[in-house]
Amino acid sequence: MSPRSSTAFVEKTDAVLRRQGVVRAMFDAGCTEVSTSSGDWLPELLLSSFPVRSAMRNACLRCAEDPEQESHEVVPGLWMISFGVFSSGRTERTCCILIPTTELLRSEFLDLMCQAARLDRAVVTSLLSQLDLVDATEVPRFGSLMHLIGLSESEISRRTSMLTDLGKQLGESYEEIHLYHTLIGNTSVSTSPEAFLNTVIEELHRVLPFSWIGVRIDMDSLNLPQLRGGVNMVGSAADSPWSFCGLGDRLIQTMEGREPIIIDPSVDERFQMVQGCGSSAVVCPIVGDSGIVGVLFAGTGQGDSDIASSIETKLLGAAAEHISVFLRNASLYVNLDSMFLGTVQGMVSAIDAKDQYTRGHSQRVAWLARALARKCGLTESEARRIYLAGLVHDVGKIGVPEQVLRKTGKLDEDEFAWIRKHPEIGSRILKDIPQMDDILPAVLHHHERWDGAGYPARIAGEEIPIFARIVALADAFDAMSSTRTYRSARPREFVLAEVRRCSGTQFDPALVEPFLSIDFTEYDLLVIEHGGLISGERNAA
Amino acid sequence: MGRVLVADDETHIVQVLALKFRNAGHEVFEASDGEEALQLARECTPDVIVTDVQMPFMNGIELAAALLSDQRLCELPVLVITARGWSMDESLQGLSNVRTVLSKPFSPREVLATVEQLMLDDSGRQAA
Repeated sequence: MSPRSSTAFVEKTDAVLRRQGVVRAMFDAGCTEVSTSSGDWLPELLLSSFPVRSAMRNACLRCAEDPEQESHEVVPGLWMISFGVFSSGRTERTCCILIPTTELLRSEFLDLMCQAARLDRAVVTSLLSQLDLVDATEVPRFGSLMHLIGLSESEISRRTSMLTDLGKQLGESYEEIHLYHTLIGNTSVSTSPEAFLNTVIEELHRVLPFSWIGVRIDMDSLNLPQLRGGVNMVGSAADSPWSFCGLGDRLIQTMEGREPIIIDPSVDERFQMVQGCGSSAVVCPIVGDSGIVGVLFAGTGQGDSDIASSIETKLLGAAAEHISVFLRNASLYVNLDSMFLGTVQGMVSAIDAKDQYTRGHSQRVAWLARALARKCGLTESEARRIYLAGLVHDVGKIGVPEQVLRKTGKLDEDEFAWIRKHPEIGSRILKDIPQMDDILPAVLHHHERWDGAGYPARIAGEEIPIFARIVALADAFDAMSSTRTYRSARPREFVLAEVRRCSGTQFDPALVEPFLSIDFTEYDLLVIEHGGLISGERNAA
Repeated sequence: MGRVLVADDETHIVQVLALKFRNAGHEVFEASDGEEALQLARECTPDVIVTDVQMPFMNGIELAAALLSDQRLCELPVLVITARGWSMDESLQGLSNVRTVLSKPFSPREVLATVEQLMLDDSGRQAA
């Protein structure tokens, strides 16, 4: 497609010249005319005669040596200006401009020209005299201006094609930036790998003209339990995902380089196991610490035209790199998270080891607190934090002497003073773990009461942090529901009645109704699981 | 093939979009601000207008409102391209001619696909 604005400029100039009887013709290096005159009588008249054709041919040959402007009178009353121009790149062209002057009307050569163009002399004379023909004395000045216009046009054309190229490249960069933007927006490590992979291929499918896109990750080389394995596919792959899964594995095993490759599935034997692929596919390796851990692949469908151009390959490659980084981060995150939870579990086991009668208590309180948080409309991430708070709320009991914790009778004042210390001890133990910052208040204040009669700070109402109020209710419920050193477990109706009775005194009244609506089935299973152990140990003792 | 009017004061955006539309066979008109776009829209009656929001003299929202109040142009579908994170919900209230909002950085392919869809919807509606 010729650049629009330069073409428009040339057309405008031609129209102005035509009004003065002037016609331009362009020739390539092989002396072939490249401009087209569409059935107009004037170019026919000026360009058809032998002397003119021969003069233009000579001009072409001369311009190959010297592109400078030259003008001469071809036949009396018809001047020709010629010069060389560069069109796009290094293509040389010769521009011949034919200028009929007023003298042509009287010239005997007009007969010859009319014959060559098969035009009627009388009609031509009449048409020519209607034009604003140039005077012979004006020709040199006219020639210089025409040369200048010719050079300007070739410069405009050069710049327009440069602008078109830049625009095309810029457009491709926009595609790339847009893709990155979307991918990065979905790359927080908390996104599940499964959801991330699906987003990537869906986004690619939206932007790129592939009829199918898939990603296959080799599960054995990655520590990502959330990834379900198999193959993630979008688009119209006629064949079943399982054959693409197998294809993915073969590609992972056989790929050598780390760059995207373009494959013709109709001849590549690895693709023989899948049906419905067209004649082009792009395969990008996903590289992990241990080498190639997966592939991102995309292709055309049967009967589609080839579309695997450089921009598609580049974008797909960028996405594959992005997946590599994400998987590595996700795997690190999983490692850290499991180490963290393992450490917390270790602390909880330490408490359990000291006080066997409360075994499982922390886990049950965690479960109850999370269930209550959800009932109260807290966010899922807050609910997860509350679960953690429930797990560690009694960690301070590590600092309480075992004989106090295990005492079966009533506690005396000194012993009770020990017990009252456990929230502060717990919060001191955890205070150096930055990841526990938001949980500390729950640990420190889980024995405060709504009416301010609790400990250690004796704060009341909404002064007590919400995490602490939730854990306090869960803690009290579990304490009443399970067998303790000093008494046996109370029936469910009794415990729920107690919770309702203490609404507004011990417990935040706003939490009580949501708490009563909890489905305790799963909790009861936890009690049985933990309770069985306790009775078993008792029998043994 | 359709007629698309592209309005943006950023030359490179106009360039990229115009090229994308022309290569897909559409006729393109270019405007560098809202006023110019409104005038061009009256002169060449395009099928779709693609406009930026922030432009001198008349912004994209004002342009959409002006088009809506023009009897001949009120049916003309408008695609607004806005800077990412720029909340549009309030300013677009009542502007029923704004069919789609895309945010920068945009995908030229997506803009082309959206514009062609708007043309299809429009011809479908006119036929009905």
